Amino acid sequence: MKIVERLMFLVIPSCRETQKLQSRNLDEKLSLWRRSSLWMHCVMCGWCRRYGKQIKFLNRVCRDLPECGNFEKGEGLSDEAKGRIEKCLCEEKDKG
Amino acid sequence: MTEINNPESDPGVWLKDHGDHLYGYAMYRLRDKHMAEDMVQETLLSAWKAFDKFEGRSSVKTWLTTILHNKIVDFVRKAARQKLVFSGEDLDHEMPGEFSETGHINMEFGAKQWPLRPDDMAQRGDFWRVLMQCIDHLPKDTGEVFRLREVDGLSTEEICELKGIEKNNFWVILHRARKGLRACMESNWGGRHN
Repeated sequence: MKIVERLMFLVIPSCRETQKLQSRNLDEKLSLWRRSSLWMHCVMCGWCRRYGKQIKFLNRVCRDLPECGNFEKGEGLSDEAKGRIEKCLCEEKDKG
Repeated sequence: MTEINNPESDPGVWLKDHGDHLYGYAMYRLRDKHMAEDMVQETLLSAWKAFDKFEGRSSVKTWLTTILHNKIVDFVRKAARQKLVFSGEDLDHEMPGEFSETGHINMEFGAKQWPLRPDDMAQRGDFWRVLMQCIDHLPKDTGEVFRLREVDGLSTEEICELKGIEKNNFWVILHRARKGLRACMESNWGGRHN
C-alpha cells in the first residue's frame, strides 16, 4: 500500500506544486505530462480546482481592466486640462 | 473626411464623454498627472486623424481606450527597462501553515466558493474598484511585473528582457501575484457577499 501511495505522490503533484503549475499554464502550454498530472490532481482536489478557475477568471478580467475599470469615479481631468486639450483639438480641426 | 455633424466623430464630444475615463486609466498606469493629460490629448488627436479607419465595430469608448492602451504600452516598454532583483526569500513567500508537510493545502487556507458566477461578478459596480485596489496592494515589483503581463499584455519574453529576470523567476513572481490577488479579492470582495 505504501508503495502505491509513494507512486501516487510521484505522479500527482501536491497542492503547492499544482498551484504553481496552474499559474504557469496561463502563460505557456505545459507539456502533456504536466497537463495530465495537473488534471489528475484537480479531479481529486476541489480546493485546487476552484483555485485554478478563480485565477483564470482574474487573469481574464485584468485584460478587460482598461475598458471596464471605473476610472470615471476618480478625480477626472481638470477644467484647465480640458480647456487646453479642447483648444488643441480645435486647432487640429481647423487645419482640416 | 470626417462628418462634423455626427457627434460620434466630434473629438470635443469624445473629450466630454470619455475624457475622464481615459485620464483615469492613464493615471492608473502612469501615476503622473501631466503625463496622463498629455496621453489623453495625444489619444484624441490620433483618433481624430484616424477616424476614417474607425469601422464602428466597437464603441467609441472601446476604440479610444485601445488607442490610449497602445500608447501607454509603448511608453511602458521604454520606461520599464529597469532591472529587478528578487531574492529567494521574496519569491518563496507562503503563509505559515498554508501547506502540510507533503505540500497539500490545509483546509482553512483553501479557496472559498465565490458567491456569484464570474461573469455576474464583473457586472457588480464595486468589483472593478476592489480589483484595482487589490492589484495596487501587491508588493511593488511583483505588482509591476503582473501589470506588465496582465494589464498591458506584454509577452513573457519581453518582460524577462526588460526586467532582466529568468523565466523561472518570472513564473514564480506571477504565481505569487495571482495568489495574492486571489486572496485579496476573496477577503475584500468574494467573501463579503457570502
